[in-house]
Amino acid sequence: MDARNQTKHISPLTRFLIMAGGVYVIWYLLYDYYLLPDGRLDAFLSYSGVSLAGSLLNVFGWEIYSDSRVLAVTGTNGVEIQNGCNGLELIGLYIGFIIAYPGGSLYKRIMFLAGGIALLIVANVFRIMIFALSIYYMPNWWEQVHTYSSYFIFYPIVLTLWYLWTTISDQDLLAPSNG
Amino acid sequence: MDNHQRSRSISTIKRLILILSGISVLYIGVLRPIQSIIIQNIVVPHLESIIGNNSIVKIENVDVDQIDISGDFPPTKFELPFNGWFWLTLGLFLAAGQERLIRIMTYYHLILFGALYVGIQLIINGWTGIAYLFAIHEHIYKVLFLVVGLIGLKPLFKK
Repeated sequence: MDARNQTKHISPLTRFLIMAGGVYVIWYLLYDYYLLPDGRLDAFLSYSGVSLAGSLLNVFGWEIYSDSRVLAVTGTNGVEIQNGCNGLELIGLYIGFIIAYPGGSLYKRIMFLAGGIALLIVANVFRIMIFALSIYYMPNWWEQVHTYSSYFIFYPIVLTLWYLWTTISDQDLLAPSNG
Repeated sequence: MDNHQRSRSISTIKRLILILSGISVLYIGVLRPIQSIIIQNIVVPHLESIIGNNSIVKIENVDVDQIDISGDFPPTKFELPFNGWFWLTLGLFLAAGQERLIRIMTYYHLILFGALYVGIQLIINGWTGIAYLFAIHEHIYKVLFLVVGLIGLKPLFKK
């Protein structure tokens, strides 16, 4: 059996996992050894997240203090959004799956990536708002809110988006080719 | 999608939410405190005793279920097996009735206990290059199991 036949015998799932593994290795090397030490993208996400969360809290009537990475409801010490805590790692996780999963046109893939990233950024703004409010209303629960917020805010969104992408991609794969 | 398919899909979602809720309560209420005890009372004291004062390797950070070690390599995270990712993925596997995958993932995490222990010993003894491999592995394996769990759910929604 030659190498080409052997490649054909790899199941689609295995092929996808190898591809996803490769994409994630590249992402984490990029993230751990360039993006995180460089800090600019992290800083942008942290600053803009804090700024948007502060503006929204203000609109809803809370009196807030906001300065670069720090957001506080007046009367509290507030929360500081550090590099590595702004959802960037999770955005990479999301992107890796969408790139690696077969099917789906390039246009749909780009739209799904852009929409998903936007949604995750909005979710992060919502998470920062929850942090600031939890320090004000239930400071004793801060540790729990901080630890489990990702599980309850980010993961359901990422898993749902991944699932939707598999559905869209599979429909495209099964649809008769028109060109 | 006809009415039968729709009601089947809704019952699958209900089942998934129920399983994940149960696992969340178990994880937050029981498993995470146990992991914290294991890290604080067993892992950290043991590592401190074998690292000693003169080693270039240091324990950088201790968290509930993980430690970061550093040296002449970037800080590397060692998370206990059977961590949150395991339980989240287990929820997906259970909902999908993927018994074979549950076994594979459980064996993987059991083997990981030994692999992490050997890995840390090697790093402390100067094989610091291995830290890079463990850093990559730490990032990759959890996501891949989760992805398999998600794909395993698909047939349930399609039936």
